[in-house]
Amino acid sequence: MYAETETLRFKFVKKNEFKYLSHLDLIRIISRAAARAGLKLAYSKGFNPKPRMSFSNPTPLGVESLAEYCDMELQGGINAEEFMGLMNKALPEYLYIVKAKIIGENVLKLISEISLVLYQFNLRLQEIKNKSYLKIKEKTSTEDKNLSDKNLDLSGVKETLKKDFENEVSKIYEIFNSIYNFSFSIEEDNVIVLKIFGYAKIFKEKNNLIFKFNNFLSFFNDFTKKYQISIELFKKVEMYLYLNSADKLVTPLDLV
Amino acid sequence: MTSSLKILELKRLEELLSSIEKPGRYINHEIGIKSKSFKFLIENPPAVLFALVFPDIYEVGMSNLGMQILYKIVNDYPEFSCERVFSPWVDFEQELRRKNIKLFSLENRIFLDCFDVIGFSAAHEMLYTNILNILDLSGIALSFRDRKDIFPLVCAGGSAVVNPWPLSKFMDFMLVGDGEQVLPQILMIIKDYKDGCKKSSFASDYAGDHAKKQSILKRLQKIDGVFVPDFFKVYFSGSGTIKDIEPFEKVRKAVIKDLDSSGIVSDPVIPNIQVVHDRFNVEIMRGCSRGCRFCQAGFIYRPVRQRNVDFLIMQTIEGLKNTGYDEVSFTSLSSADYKKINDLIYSVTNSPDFERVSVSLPSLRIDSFNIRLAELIQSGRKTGLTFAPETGSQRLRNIIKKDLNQDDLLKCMKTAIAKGWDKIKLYFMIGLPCEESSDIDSIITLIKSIISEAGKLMTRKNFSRFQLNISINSFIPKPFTPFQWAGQEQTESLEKKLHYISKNLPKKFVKLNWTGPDKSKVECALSRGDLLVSDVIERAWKRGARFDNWTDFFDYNLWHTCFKDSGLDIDFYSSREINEDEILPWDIIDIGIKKEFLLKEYKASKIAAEIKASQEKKIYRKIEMIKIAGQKAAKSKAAE
Repeated sequence: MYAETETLRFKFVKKNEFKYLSHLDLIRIISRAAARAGLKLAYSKGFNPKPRMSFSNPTPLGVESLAEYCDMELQGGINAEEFMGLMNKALPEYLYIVKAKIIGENVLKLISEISLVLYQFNLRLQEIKNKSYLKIKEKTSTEDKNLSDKNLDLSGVKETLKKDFENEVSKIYEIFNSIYNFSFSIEEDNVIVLKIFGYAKIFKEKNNLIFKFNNFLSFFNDFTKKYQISIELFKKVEMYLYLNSADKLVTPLDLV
Repeated sequence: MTSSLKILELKRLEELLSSIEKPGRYINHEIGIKSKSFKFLIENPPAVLFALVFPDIYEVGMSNLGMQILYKIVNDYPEFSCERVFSPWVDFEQELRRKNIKLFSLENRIFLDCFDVIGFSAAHEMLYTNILNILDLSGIALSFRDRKDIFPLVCAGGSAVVNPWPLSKFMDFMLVGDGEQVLPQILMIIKDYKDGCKKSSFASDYAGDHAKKQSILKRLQKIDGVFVPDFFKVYFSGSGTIKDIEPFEKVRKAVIKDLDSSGIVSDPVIPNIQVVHDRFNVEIMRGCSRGCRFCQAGFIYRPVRQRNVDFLIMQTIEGLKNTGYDEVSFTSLSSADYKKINDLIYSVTNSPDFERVSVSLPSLRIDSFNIRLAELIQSGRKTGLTFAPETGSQRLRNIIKKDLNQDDLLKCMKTAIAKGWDKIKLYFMIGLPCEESSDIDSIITLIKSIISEAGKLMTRKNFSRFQLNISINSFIPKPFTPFQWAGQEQTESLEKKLHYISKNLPKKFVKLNWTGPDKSKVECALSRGDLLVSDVIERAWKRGARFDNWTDFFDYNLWHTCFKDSGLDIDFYSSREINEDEILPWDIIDIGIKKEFLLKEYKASKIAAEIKASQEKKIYRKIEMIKIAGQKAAKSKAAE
């Protein structure tokens, strides 16, 4: 009962249909997978013992995530590779661990005071002949009317989008204050990538708001409609903790 | 058919999911899936595709053990594939209808009309409208007569089809009894037909689809438990009772003699989302030997069959390992009657394989023995105990043949309270045959005396936490019970009784809830319905009835009107006392119990009713004295 315990921090992915499962569903699925894998979880004491696990902030329902984190306390020793192998065999198809490390006692908790979440949106410009798009085009650069998918001047579009996005975002207090930073970049044909760092937790001193993904999404949906842009995919890419001592952002596994 | 399998693309599913609650209900990839891959189905066209439908939401359907059993049995055959389907919740239905998308299965998202056989698991009557809704959402004609194609064949099984008539208009065939052995037999015949071999036993290639379908159904009818509505004709008398059913050849319930002939499902599908009973379910016994006169399950699941305890222990441990569940539920109609229940619980909870496994036993009978059992399974935290005294008086308990003595009941409560249980749930019924106002009073008296005992036994601090959850249901006289002839009490009178109880119960310590008597009335009318009730169900569905078991959706007025509009009187089916010599709609089913036996039991209940409450006390005093005398005699004997 009072054997040595060891805590593992692991990063896992929820993909495809599994993005429709809630945070509580994930917790249940992971603890059951651990039991199937034959791992002995450490339990809390008291009348109603619970497995000692803690998770990073929930990802909104319907959002793919490449960066979910969990700290799991196990009885007895195990190395990280072995742990990953056993767990991934027991987990369902679209839920898997990508990295695991054993952590010491004084590592910053997953839900620590400050954290940032990085979301990525892939935006596709829908139609080349689209009027609103051409308007942007005219404003920005060439007069070339014989455009094709391949030789789009995306950088011009990107700049316009960026400016307008900045402008729109600043109008809405809740959204403006919950975004730490954002960037637009071009990836392959016709795809513009928007990366947003949102506050996942309140900066107490500065009184910032929690990044409400769903609020943002509905706002952003209206924005993209204006430009006839479709959101091809969006996902949570990474989460960061703010390391006070070094004044920098690190991933939960960087800490270990 | 498999040659033209159509599926819903993932992208389209995602469009549907974007705006609904709990999208996890509609996604696949759970652990434990057994259906064949889409690729396999395309490459092996004669394979028989079976849709196993539970006409309630995912969370309810996935808690049903029968679903897991049949799903496994069918998928164990390389030539069959079984996929699951559940009722879409109202928001999802709206999306499907708005976007004009047909209903599809969970695993490969195959549209239902592409299946060879669609089988509904009808657990209770209030799911009937959901069945029609699912057929309609699948683009399948409701009435079997309107379905011109041979496939899909539509069938239903489960305890709500022991009287097959209410659903008979919609089903090509129905299955009464245990499905484990007969379902594969049914699918094999369909495979034979599809294979084109053994053709001689089916209609020739030149025959029309109708004749071909009939030839399949004729083959199916030879299997135990298979009822084909189209092969029977019902004649009614002027008063609405049945004059004759032709041919009057009873369909014998399918029974598996030995439960151990197939193992428990030790690798069930593990739901991704939380379901109603989120635990490893193990059926330890089927049937119940107690014969409580109100209990339909007690009669239709006979005979009693127990699983071998050694196999059970082995398979339970294996199942807990496979699933990762930390709770196992040993289910049956009366789990304490399982001969080796102690061995079973002890071996599983003390298995070196697990550090913590909790056991739950639904439907525990109360006596001192079971308190010990309850202690065994709830070591540590005492979460709550559930008892079913059914009535407040011993007199009425004798009438319904509930084998439970008033004194034992109280003694048992005291023990439970003394051992530290501070939450107790009690089930009662009102509107039982021969019920008098004194019987209602005795429910109140019983509850009050339990509270006063708790006050004496508990510390003041603990007593303040004491809680009695009282659940009251209206009695429903169901087919194949000795009370099947009894009339159901009228709603108004039942409501008066409920209000009387609610007014006279102490507010402190008691949490009271009940099922609306009007809902029980519709359930009664549906369960005792005949062929004509099919129309009522269809009408009700058309007017929007679904999820009738959910209080938020149930609408009595809608049902009442639908009976009227079909030219029927709901009271004819619910509150009417049925004549003993009447032909009952469900007489066409041989459930394994003779009608004469049920009638004998019905009469016995009336004799029990003649003992008045005042006499009852005297009798019990006498019994008590005989008991004491016996004990004294035994003691003196021992002393010698």
